[in-house]
Amino acid sequence: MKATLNLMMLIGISAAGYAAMIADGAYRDRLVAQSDTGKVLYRMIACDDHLLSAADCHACEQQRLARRIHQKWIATAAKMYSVVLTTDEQAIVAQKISAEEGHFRAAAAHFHALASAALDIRCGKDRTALLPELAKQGVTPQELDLELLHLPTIADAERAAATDYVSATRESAREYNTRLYVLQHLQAIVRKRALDERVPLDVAEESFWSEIARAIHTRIVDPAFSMPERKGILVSP
Amino acid sequence: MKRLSSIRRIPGVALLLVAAALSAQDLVPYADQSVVSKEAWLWNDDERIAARFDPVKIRERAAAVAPTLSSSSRAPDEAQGLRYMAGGCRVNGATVDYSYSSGTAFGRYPLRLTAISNFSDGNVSITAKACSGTGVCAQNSANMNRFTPSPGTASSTIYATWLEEDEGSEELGPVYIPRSASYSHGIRQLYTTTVFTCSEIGESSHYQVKDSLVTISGQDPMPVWGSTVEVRGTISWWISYRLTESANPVGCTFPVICSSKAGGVAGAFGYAPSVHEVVSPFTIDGQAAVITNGSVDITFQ
Repeated sequence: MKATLNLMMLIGISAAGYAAMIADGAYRDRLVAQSDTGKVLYRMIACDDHLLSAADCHACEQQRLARRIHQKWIATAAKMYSVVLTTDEQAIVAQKISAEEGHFRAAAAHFHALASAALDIRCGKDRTALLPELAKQGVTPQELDLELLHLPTIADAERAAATDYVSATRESAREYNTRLYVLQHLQAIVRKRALDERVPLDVAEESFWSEIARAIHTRIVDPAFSMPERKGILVSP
Repeated sequence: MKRLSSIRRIPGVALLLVAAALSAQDLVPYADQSVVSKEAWLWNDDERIAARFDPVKIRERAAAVAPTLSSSSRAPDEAQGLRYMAGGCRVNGATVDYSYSSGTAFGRYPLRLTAISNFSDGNVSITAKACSGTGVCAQNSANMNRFTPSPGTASSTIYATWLEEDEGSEELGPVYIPRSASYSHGIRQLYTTTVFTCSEIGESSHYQVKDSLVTISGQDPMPVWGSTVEVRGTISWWISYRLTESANPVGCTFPVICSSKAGGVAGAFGYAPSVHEVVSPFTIDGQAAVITNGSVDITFQ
């Protein structure tokens, strides 16, 4: 009788925990914003820093949302206005990428160690036993836990472990360095528009990004968040 | 910290006062011409006794071994029975404590100065006076100069890469892709030099390492970062401190954003101290970034 009672209590606790987990998962999966170029889910911008106050955390999330949306707008504007880097700019980007080769390898080794450890754990290995070896590669237990959160299944972990992180990191650096020049080209477009329309730069910029936002149907779904500023990206606010 | 406080209690500097041969002609008074005119080996007994007990000659002999603020001079011959008492040491006109250290070939009078960090920039005069047992005194002066030059600087470019969730595809779900950015990373290290015109044992007060100001600049997204500075010197041989938000951050022009942190200690001294600054942690959008060139070094020589 007592054993049955204990079993029922255990099932009850597990069920409550599972429900909380599902609820938390759904909460993190909720749609915050979307456009023709993609969605932004809450977990993509979530502030998990428990040291921050609720208000600071929310400000942090709003800032992350703004950055993600701005990146989509920049990519769209570059396409719409056919922005291409000059030969000199391309050469500088290539030079910068070449200088960072050592960093790409180090970062790739780090990410690969994380993904491999996550795969090992998903396949049943003991997390604690992996930590000493990971520590030698500069991987912290917190990073591993975050990786496990990102890779909930064996299939996810296998996919991550098979990723060519050297190429992916190199590509991300190329995107970053290219975007710095793209911003300069877009700034030139906005300056010309301000001159042609005889309006201040910030007004021209706001109008420019409003057009882009409309073009890809950017909208904020979660009322807790607001549409990011449409100025201060190209010219000083 | 405990070590630092003990350093503050000990003398900031110890000056070696060496009783030495001194050509102090102004201390040599009138002498008996009849004795002086003859070579010593021609003196008779009376003349030898007269010269031995002549107070002027006594002072003359004493003056020859009076103290000087120099470590390069020769030591007195203690076998002659000449023991010196310091008549007093004055720093910027104020008397400071001293001690006599015997048992070596040198007569040493380490001055008990207050910690060097208590002196502001500029010149400080140090005067030492020593007297023989027979009451003959001599004095010598030296200067200590404190100077704060432009801060030492070092910089690097931090390459940062972190993982960010991307939407992925319907069938495979979200994927985590690397994102990269680079940031300028610079340190401005304040320091003050201290130079003596006389010798300073160990020259440990040569450099005083003061506040550090570290700035990271770049474009959005900016990192949330921390910084630790380690200072190694000959007195405070290892000091580590964490930097906090700077009250006087470095300003930057749009679109570059700057973030500065500062901190330091008052008493990190050394002959050729080194400063090692390490940026950690470095998170972007809540993700720990893998960074390269996260540390910079400055060595003062």
